[in-house]
Amino acid sequence: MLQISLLNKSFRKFHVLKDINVNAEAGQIYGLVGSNGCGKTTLLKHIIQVFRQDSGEIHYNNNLITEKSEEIKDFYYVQDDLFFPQNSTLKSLYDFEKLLYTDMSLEKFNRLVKYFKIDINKKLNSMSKGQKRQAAFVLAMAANPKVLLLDEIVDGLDAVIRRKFWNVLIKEVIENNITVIISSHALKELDNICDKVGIMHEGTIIKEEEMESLKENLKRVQFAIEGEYEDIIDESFTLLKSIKVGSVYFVTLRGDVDAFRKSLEDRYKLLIFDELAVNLEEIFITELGGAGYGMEELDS
Amino acid sequence: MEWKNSIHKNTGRLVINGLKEKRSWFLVSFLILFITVIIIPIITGSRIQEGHIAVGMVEVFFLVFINCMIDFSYMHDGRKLAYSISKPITDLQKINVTIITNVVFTTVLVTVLFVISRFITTSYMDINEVFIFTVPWLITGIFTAAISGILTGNSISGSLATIINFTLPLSFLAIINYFFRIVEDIAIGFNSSILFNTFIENYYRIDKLYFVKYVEDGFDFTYFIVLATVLVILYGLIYVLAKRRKHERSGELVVSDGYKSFISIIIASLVPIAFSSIFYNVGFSGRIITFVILFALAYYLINAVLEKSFRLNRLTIKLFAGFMVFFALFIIIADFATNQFEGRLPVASEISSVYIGSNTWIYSQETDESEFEGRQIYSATEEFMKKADNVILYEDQQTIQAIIDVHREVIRNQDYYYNMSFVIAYYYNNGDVLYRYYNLLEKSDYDGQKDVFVKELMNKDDFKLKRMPFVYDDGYLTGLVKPSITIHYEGKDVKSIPQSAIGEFDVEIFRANLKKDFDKYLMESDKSLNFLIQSPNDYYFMEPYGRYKVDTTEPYIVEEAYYVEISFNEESMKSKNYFSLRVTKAFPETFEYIASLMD
Repeated sequence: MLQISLLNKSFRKFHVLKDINVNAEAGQIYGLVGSNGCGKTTLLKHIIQVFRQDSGEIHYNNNLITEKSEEIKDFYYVQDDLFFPQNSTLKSLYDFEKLLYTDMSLEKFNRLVKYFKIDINKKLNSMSKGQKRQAAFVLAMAANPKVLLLDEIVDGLDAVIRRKFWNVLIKEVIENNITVIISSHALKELDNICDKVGIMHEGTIIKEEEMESLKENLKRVQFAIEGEYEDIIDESFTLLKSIKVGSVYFVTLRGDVDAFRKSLEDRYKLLIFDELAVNLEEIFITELGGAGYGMEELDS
Repeated sequence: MEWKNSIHKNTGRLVINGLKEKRSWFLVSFLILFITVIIIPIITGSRIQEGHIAVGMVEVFFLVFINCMIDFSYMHDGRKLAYSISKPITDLQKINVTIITNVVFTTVLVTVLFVISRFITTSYMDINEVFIFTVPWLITGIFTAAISGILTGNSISGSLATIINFTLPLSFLAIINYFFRIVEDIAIGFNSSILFNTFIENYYRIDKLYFVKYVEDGFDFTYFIVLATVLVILYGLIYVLAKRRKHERSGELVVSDGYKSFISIIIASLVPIAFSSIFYNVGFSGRIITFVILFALAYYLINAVLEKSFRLNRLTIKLFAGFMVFFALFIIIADFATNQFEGRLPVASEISSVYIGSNTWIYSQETDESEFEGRQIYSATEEFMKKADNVILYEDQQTIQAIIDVHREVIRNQDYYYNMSFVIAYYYNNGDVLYRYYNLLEKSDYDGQKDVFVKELMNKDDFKLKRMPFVYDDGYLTGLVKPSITIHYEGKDVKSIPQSAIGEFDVEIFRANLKKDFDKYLMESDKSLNFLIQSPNDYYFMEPYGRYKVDTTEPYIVEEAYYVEISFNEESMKSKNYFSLRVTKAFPETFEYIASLMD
């Protein structure tokens, strides 16, 4: 289990990470989502020890993670803005990384190269952005890490390749029980693969919860009534957001949906009432909205 | 345990991997050396000479410097840094691999150059000397590049920092020398050159630090001790700084606030020092004010560049204030500390010998077997001084006391007829040496008191014997064959001297007349101090009365004089086998004697 507790970091006077707490289990894909510039990449760089925290601790299987700890040798980080040494090919990079990662698997490397159809002798810096991401992903998988940190890994990839990515990743998590922390803005995709989500905003984790539990807590309904709807205050539910599209109202709430329906029925003539599926994007917008993000009105 | 962790278990293979990546650099380097050190000498027909090896070494320096900058540049780019540091290799392990790779690269290039140097057929110097100091420079340069890479967040600033850090001991020396010059201004009798020489010869062995000593004095085992010590210190710095580096500041010019402060103080101090050669003739207060203003300006500009902002932050202002307080304290403490030494005068009985003179460059030999060599007086021993050609050491107690009396008067008052400077060196019986250096300044209301003490000194028999042995030492001519004489007349109507006149020239009569004239001159001259401090080889005290006088409005005026040259058939540095005198009417007895020969 990867555990981050009360991690703080300031860049000069700018407090970029504030009391960060993260709990990512083995065999779990942890989605790190958040507003732009909220500190996701900075947090990943702290986990991999590129940056050193001002305070707080990172533990893996109850062992403190530092630059020198043995456990960190099983961590692999694929950065958003990829870098490959000059003139390197995937083959030469594999040979180099084999000197650093003890569990590097040639068999897996070859299998993935074939699966992604990558030319291992082509200079990496002459590859397209998507090809580079595939190459970096293949190397990461071949290293057999116990903790895999992926920063915006699917950005710039087409839908087919993305699907391949997820297939490989999910298989890896299931077979090898690894911990994956993936930072991405592709919320719809994370929705389908993440077991747990941490939502970041302005340097803090404002919500960390199992995906299932998140979805259970947050409800979305659509209804139509006779007359004009006004928000209802009740102890058994909390209304988070309501919008009207045509004559249909869409309401996001926490709590008892049945109680909300009954309240509507008590007050209005209910014409339609349906409970909708809640997706990560909705959860994200709702949570960040709660934190005041994106709530500004565009002046007309 | 931590030290053990600083070496990655695959270091050897990582180094080989690094060297493989340098294949192109190896090829380019060999090509450059091959063309400039072998092909061009062959084409020009000059054969391979030391100069070509020296050029090759400069090229090696350049190639190693560029390679270090490239290899340590991973610390200066966020992408490269994240890629490198995210791998299971610690910062220190990565730095170690980079250092070792570059040391191997350097070793190969130097070995190639060394092998080529074996083909030199004509050599005017020991070619190995080129390698004696350059090899440690290259190795320490690689370590310095690592330190600079850690401290900076940009490759260009990393390159500049490497040069600045490599020359830091020299920068310190320049600053220390400047502070000595301030002491010289504050304290009467103190000389920055003496302080500086004492400092670098006894405490701050910059010649050892840069391995130049081993070229001048020869190679010995301390070479390896110094090299090992320097490398251990540099590696210690790498170890500490690597652990403290803030990677998130990569991209800034300097990532360490401490280094930023340090370097801005050092460079800001060097700026007024560099300008001090322009303001060399300013007084003490002018020097201090100039230093403070130029320091403040340079400090502001350096910080503006480093912070990329024209607004200074609070830390920078605090540091400036701190340095100014330190500077003021230095002046106050230096003044206080030197006060107790300014008036210090030795007791004559404790002194073995004394030197007083304006000449500070001594040409002599340490022992009878040693070769003659030149040294600053501050580095010369009493024995060396005794064997010097152009030095008089006064050993008579009465003469020593008379010099102490002159010294006392100089401490009391530093006015004179014109500007002049001189050194007094007291050699104690117990081996200690006391140096004092005085600058006398021209003052129209000079009270003439120094002349009283100087004349008393100059009229001592011991002084006369040592200062003018030809005139006062009756045994001077004993054993010497008759000297050859030439006399030239200088006057408005130039006349030739008849050969018969020279033939009648009697050295003893000439000496007797000179003695009468000198006795009178030494008693009456109001410029006696000038005579006292001149080199004993110079008899030109007659100069003001003869030769060419320069007038601002009139053309050159030639005064009547006889120019007498005397040479003995003796070939020793010490026998004064040749000297010349210009005899004017200011030396009437001698002048008349020579004139009488011509009648």
